[in-house]
Amino acid sequence: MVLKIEELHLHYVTMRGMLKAVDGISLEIGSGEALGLVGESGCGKTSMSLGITRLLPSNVSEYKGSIELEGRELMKLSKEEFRSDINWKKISMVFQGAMNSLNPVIRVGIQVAEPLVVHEKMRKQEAKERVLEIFERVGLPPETFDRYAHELSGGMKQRVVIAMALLLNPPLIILDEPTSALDVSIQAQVMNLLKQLKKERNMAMIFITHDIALSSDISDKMAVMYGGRIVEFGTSEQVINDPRHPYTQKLLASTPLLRSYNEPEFIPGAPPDLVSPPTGCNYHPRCHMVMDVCSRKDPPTAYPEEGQRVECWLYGEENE
Amino acid sequence: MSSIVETRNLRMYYTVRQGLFKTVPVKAVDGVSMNIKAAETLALVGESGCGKTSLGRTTLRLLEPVSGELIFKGKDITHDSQQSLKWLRRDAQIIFQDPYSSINPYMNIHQIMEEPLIIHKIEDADKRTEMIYRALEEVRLYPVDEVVRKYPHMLSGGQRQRVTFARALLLDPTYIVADEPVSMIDASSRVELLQILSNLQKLHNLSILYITHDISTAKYVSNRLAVMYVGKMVERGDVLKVIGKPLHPYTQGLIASVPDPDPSNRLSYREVIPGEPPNAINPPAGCRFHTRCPHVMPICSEKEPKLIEIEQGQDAACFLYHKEFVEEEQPGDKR
Ligand SMILES: Nc1ncnc2c1ncn2[C@@H]1O[C@H](COP(=O)(O)OP(=O)(O)O)[C@@H](O)[C@H]1O
Ligand SMILES: Nc1ncnc2c1ncn2[C@@H]1O[C@H](COP(=O)(O)OP(=O)(O)O)[C@@H](O)[C@H]1O
Ligand SMILES: [Mg+2]
Ligand SMILES: [Mg+2]
Repeated sequence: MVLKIEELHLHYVTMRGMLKAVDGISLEIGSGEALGLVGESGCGKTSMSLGITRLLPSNVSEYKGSIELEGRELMKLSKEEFRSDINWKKISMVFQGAMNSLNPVIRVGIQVAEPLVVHEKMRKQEAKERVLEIFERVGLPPETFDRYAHELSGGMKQRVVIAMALLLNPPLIILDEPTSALDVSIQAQVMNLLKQLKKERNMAMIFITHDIALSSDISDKMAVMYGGRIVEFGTSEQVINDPRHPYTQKLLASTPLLRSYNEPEFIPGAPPDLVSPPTGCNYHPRCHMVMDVCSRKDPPTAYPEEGQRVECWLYGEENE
Repeated sequence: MSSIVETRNLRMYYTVRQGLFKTVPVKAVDGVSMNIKAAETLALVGESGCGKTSLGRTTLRLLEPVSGELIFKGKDITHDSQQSLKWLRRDAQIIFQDPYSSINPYMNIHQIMEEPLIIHKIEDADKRTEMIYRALEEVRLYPVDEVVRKYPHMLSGGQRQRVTFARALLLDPTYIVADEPVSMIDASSRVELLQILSNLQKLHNLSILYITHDISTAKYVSNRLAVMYVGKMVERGDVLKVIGKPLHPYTQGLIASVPDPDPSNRLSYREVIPGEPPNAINPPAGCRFHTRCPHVMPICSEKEPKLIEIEQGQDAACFLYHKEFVEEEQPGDKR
């Protein structure tokens, strides 16, 4: 097991009250495994990854739970320990929109080399060689080292930020919507690169996207997130071929298919307001299978099949 | 069926500065001939920067063509003055990707909807209110008497976009350019919006140019599909034919790039189009796709293939299927 998260919570203070962006989530990822985290915007995907990498916004009010990385409890580490031992070395993250926040006045090679020089105290020439090596792995020609961000295409910038994340060869990399700003042909190239890196380096990844079709392009396992919770978890086969949670079922049914015909459905209503979420199950106001109990009590966790986990009253023992 | 909108060899260039004194043309739309029939939805797909928005806006004369012809309901309007095109501002509408960009956040929905009616001189206030209510009902924004009092920020993205649909329909247009109308909307509501768009199309016999980079949504709203690459149309035809059996290597690559939800996707690499799209300032000679094409032949870098019918109801501009090419021409600026 590379990563094991239990009951992670991350809440923000807002003008309107406390916002439960991550509200008790648990998941586990094996070595070399890709976990796809899917869900609509605002469901807490980015917040969860900020929680894992401890890159907390200043208005976080509650941050608790257990995060075990290669058997080591990260929640017990001090800020300094976390920064020196974990960031980049053990977990690296490609932020949503990172390719557009590259520094415009520093050559991209220098930006990528920076953690090596600053954290690893590596000599500049050595750092450059290392960067060029990684550039080659991600399909960037060596000239890229001396380029500025604005001289690169979107696809190349995305390769640069992926290179940055790979630099210290961490066992886990988190990619937050890494292709959402790219055209489909470039997206497909980046996905092939990720597949190749995953195979070569036996690297575990959390691949975050709102697009379940895209998620299936890389994920061994999938976690479906809704309103701050993981409502369904399982292998990609289980989640896509045999979805249990009504939300997962509708999410799949609302995805237009290119290669076969379906009459896509939509999910009525809107995602919950995480400051004042519905009582009981967060999804009950939109659910096509809603029962009495759903609005009264939090749903139980059920394990319909080996490796499959779902939070829903349909599979609960107290099913009325 | 008659055409509502037709373009013949239409070109639209932007002028950009290069260095201090030099300006160069960006050939955003570079010789496009197409038509949209009455009550038909034509989907226009292609990667960003290929000229979809520019073509859409040029068909509305919101951008000025440098050459070619633009025909609207049988009338050549290429050179009509903007002054004389007031009727077009009513008969043709545009819907944008970001509903926030086209609605005033300080007005309530009633005011937002009323604005175009006042501009187009619908004098009777009761009549205006009636029109607004009917339009909001058509986009299923219930309960209407509550919705009209709300401000844009009180609605979800999908609901805001429905307001812009309703507003575009108020004046009973024949032609609508919908430029990536669902790209910023959550997956779970995207389908609902597309259904609303389809229903409106049928209800009002609209002709719609549906612009999207997402080929899988095109299938659900359009009758025909056109594919653009660097200012040119490279393929078009019946939407199911083009998606089911794409002819142009670019269309083939585009479709291969898009995954459907399928757990076996992860087990193999995806076939991809190599490289990146060229820019529209210096597009490659001959067929613009030849620099990335897996089937490139010597002729492809010399001549530009013509867009002609290959199979019934399906046209492609590719020398794999025919030998016809476009005669060289240097369009003069006719303005
Ligand atoms: N720093 C913050 N302060 C307050 N609320 C936040 C902050 N960051 C995110 N949120 C809110 O938390 C929820 C989850 O957001 P996010 O984690 O960005 O979701 P996702 O990545 O799935 O789109 C949203 O309601 C969002 O508005
Ligand atoms: N206002 C502008 N000035 C100069 N060039 C532009 C302008 N708008 C778009 N372009 C260029 O024109 C080409 C076509 O753009 P656009 O029509 O927006 O494509 P699409 O809608 O397919 O993304 C691109 O190369 C783009 O960079
Ligand atoms: Mg996010
Ligand atoms: Mg556009």
